Amino acid sequence: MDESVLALHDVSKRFGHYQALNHINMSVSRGDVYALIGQNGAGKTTLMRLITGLAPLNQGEIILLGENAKHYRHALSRIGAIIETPVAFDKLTVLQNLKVTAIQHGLSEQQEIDDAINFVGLKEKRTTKAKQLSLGQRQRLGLATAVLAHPDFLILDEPINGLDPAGIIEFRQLLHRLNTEKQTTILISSHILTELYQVSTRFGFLHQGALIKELTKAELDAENQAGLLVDVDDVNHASQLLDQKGIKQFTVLNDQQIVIAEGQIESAQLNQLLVTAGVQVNAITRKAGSLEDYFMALIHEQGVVK
Amino acid sequence: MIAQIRADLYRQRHTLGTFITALLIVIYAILIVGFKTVGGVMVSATEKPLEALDNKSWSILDSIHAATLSSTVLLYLFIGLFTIVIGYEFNHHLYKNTLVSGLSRLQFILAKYFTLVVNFIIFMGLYYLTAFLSALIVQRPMGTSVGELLLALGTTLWTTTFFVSVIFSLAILVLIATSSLVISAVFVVLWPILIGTITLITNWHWLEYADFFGVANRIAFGLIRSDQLFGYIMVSFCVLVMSIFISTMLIRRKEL
Repeated sequence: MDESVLALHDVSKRFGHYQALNHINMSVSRGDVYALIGQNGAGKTTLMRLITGLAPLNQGEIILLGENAKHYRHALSRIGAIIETPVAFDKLTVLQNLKVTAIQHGLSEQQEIDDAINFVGLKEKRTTKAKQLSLGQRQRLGLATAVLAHPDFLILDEPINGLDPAGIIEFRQLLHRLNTEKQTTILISSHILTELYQVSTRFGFLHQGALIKELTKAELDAENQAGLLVDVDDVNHASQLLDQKGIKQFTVLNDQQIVIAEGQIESAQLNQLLVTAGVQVNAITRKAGSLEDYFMALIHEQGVVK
Repeated sequence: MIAQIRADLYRQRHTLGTFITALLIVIYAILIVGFKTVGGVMVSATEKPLEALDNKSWSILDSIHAATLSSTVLLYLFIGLFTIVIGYEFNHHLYKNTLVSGLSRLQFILAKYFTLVVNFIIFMGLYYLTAFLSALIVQRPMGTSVGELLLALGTTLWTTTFFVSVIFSLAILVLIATSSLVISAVFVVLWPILIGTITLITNWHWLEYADFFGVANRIAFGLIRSDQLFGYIMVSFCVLVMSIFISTMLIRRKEL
């Protein structure tokens, strides 16, 4: 499960005197939903453009699906991407746009196009011209185009920009399904951090062209102290019990409280574990972590918020 | 690359502009043959065939010759096809979808070039077919044997297609270098006029090698000796290869 889909080694990019990316090292493993987070101008789009070969690399090495970016042969045909805004031939219908992509990828089955249309929920719009689609529908068409050839790796740059709340929820569900049902690894950027938090398994924080932090969701939750907050009379005993149970991601806050990172144990199970072993449980509550707060704290640490 | 050519041709089949271009070409060919009018951007070396057409009643062969002399106007109509095949993609940044689908830069340029060549063959074929049928309908005599007529048609078709494709390979280069569809369209319009005018003013006859459409016309009318033909073809072929090579290099280095 730790197979690398994307690896960046010492990647830098300069536009004239402007250093857009500065010695980036990062990796995305198979199955990850990797969220790239940063302010405007942090370098997210530039990074994605480098990965997809849309911009020439100044320095460093990019390995995508086992191939070096300088000599891509098959790697790009195994990815799907929406870079900046999703683009389509305005005068062609949804179906015709996807047919163009299908021919480019050598796909001949109409079923594959129908599946992609159904997957993104554009069945009713299949004969509508792209120029008549709403922004949300265009985003879906972009996603349908990107997933049509069953990519191993999907690169999505601000895919939920301009979507209404219902559209955002649907898009999140689509990404979740892609990741879980089709085992698609995803690299995604967005300004809507609450959405990124819900859909992502790993996070990379870009600031002023530098990757200032990279961590898993569990690590983020732990650092954010998000998860189950348990109040006990004996934290040492409780900690030993958690260790014995194989739960590694927890933080002792003080002599009464422990935070266990999300997704490791249910509250009822935890209660039973502790009480059975004689630990008095005063309260178990869910402590929410905020990606926004974490991000803001992180860039404050860099001393860059003006 | 073949897949990309197929995708572009599919897209063209569903684009109204393709059919409008075809319609205009058909009307133009009918007008030339029906009204015995010859026109176009002609700068050098085609006066004799023009005079010959002026002073006689037309046969089918003459109608084909008239269509050839008037075919420079097709360049302007072909700008529409150029826009559909590659210009629109550059204007709307749609090439991103194509380039992230795994096509190399060289394959991209070659695919666009060959899609244009396929277009030129089809539309030139349509042009000459319409001229031929129009002449047949108005009951003009053949003017030569069927074999010679077919030979003349074939020669005209391949020379015009090849030399027009050289002009548009340069237009692709201009488009990629400037990212401007307008500049590349203006280039196509101005190139033959500019070359012809400079040749007339300066008497630099070597510039005729760069008057690609003029060369095509002169080959069609047998105005270029067979020993000179190779030189003209080689110069054009080298320009074609260079423009594809430089286009590929530019697009590789370009921020897309």
